[in-house]
Amino acid sequence: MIKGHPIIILLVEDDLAHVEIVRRNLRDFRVANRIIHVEDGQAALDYLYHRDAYADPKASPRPHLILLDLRLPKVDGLEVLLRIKKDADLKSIPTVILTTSSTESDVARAYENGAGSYLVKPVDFEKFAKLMEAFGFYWLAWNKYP
Amino acid sequence: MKTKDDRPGDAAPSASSPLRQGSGGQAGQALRRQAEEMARENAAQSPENLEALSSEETRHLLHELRVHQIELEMQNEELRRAQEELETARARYFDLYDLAPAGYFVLSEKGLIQEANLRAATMFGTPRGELLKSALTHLIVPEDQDIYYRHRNQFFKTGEPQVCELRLVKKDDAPFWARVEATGAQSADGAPICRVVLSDITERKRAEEEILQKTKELQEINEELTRFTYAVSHDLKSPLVTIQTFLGHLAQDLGSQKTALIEKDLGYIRNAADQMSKLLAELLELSRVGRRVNPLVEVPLQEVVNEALDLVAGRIAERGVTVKVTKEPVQLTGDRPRLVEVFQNLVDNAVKCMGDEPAPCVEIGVDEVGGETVLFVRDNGIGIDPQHQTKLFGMFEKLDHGTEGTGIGLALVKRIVDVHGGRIWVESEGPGKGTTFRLTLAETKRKPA
Repeated sequence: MIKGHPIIILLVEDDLAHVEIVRRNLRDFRVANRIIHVEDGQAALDYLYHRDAYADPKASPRPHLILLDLRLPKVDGLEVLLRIKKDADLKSIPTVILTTSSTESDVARAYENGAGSYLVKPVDFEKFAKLMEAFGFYWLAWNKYP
Repeated sequence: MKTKDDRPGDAAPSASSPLRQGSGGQAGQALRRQAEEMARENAAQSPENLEALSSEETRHLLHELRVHQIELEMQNEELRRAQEELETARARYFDLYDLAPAGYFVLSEKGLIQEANLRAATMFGTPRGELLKSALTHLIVPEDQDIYYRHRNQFFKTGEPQVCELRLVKKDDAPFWARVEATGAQSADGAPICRVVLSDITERKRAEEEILQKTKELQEINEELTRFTYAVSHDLKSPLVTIQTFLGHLAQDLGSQKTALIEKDLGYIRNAADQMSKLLAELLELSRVGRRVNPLVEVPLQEVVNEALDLVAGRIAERGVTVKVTKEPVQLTGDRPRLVEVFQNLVDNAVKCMGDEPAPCVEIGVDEVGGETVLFVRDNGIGIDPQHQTKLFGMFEKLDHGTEGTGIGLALVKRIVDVHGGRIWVESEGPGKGTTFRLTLAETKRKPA
């Protein structure tokens, strides 16, 4: 479906089942191989700053899009978001929140911290599939990246 | 003045002097004038001319003297009554002023105490004489000097009555809280003075502080409840999303007979369901910890630790962990099953976080830190990055994915320690350097070996 430039998504998600859900739903967009998964906030920052295990920029390419959960081990999602958006180099990467939390304060703080979009994981197979489909079309087909 | 020989000329002045002392008013002066007039008239009929007086004149003189005597007696009576009234007034003044339920000062413009009632002296536990001529600032605790300074400034700036609350020094006793109310006035010689009313509000302050404390506690509980609800809603929703979604996938995969995928779907569903039931069990446990149900008992540390070790013996053996427990006699006081839970969770946590350490070891001991008895559970496992250490005791927080659990264990430990009036913190030099949990519990006693 997507021609030309591959889109690299950094998926920051601690629940492995949810990683699988995202992968399966985006498979139709043939971008499964471009999803790079890290399990916690610290790993996400290490990846983006090419630290430790992610020191090699070739093996850890800069993502086009970050798909970020909020409740994460070590460094939570809102903090990761804040650090990305405060960084002159990283702040241009669109960051989409994908979380189970629909708490108002989370939504408000996510946008304050610079989230580009806020998506709540639906507790329903069909809806989750539809959400990921819409997400795929928008961010992987239509959206223009810097 | 009982005989005829009394000289009437002497009578008037002697009667007038106490009167002048007593009332001293116009009535007294008029009386004096009247008396002098009488004396002059009487002098005309001096004693040597007494025999020249006709009997008519003598009777008249005698009558005059009698009237005068009665008048004096009446005056005397009035004087006594006035004096009695004065005494009553003085007693009343003493009662109202000195024994009033509030301290009262008159301050000079410079803040020196010019007058003080007895009650004020009692409040400060010092004789009234010592208060007089000393500055009010000397009676205020150092921490509250600023309050008084602002109070005075405001008073002189606005000229309006001012009220402030501060702590005053009591001789040989703890400072007391007082409400200080100041109003302006002028002394008899026209100098500006300040009238100050002091009321002891220590009781009220204590009650206020108690309310503040209780409010703070309630706020903390409320915040914890909010965090709890948030964590629960998120952590229960996550596996639910998984179950619902993979049920959908399962239905699809069953249709297309993809056996490998079916197995995978079922695996995710099973894990999520397990996660939920574990979470629920621990939530129940956590809610129970808040209420301390068992009576406080004194129990040796080793007994608690051994019981805890029995509960995690399987895991310890499985990972081949060496456990060392101090031999030093230490007495703990607390809810025994809860104390066991503390060590059970800490040891369990240590065993889970061993990584690939070839010689895993957990040590449980006791130290003296800053005069306080501190217990510790130390391991040589994967360690914790210092920047993540604060997150550690939060509810449902997990630092590592490789480890099992729902993230309630350490929150539970912290809660138990809190309920026992203790503190818990973690020390680790970083990843790979092992971890030491240190905790205090109120009433921990080290016995000399």
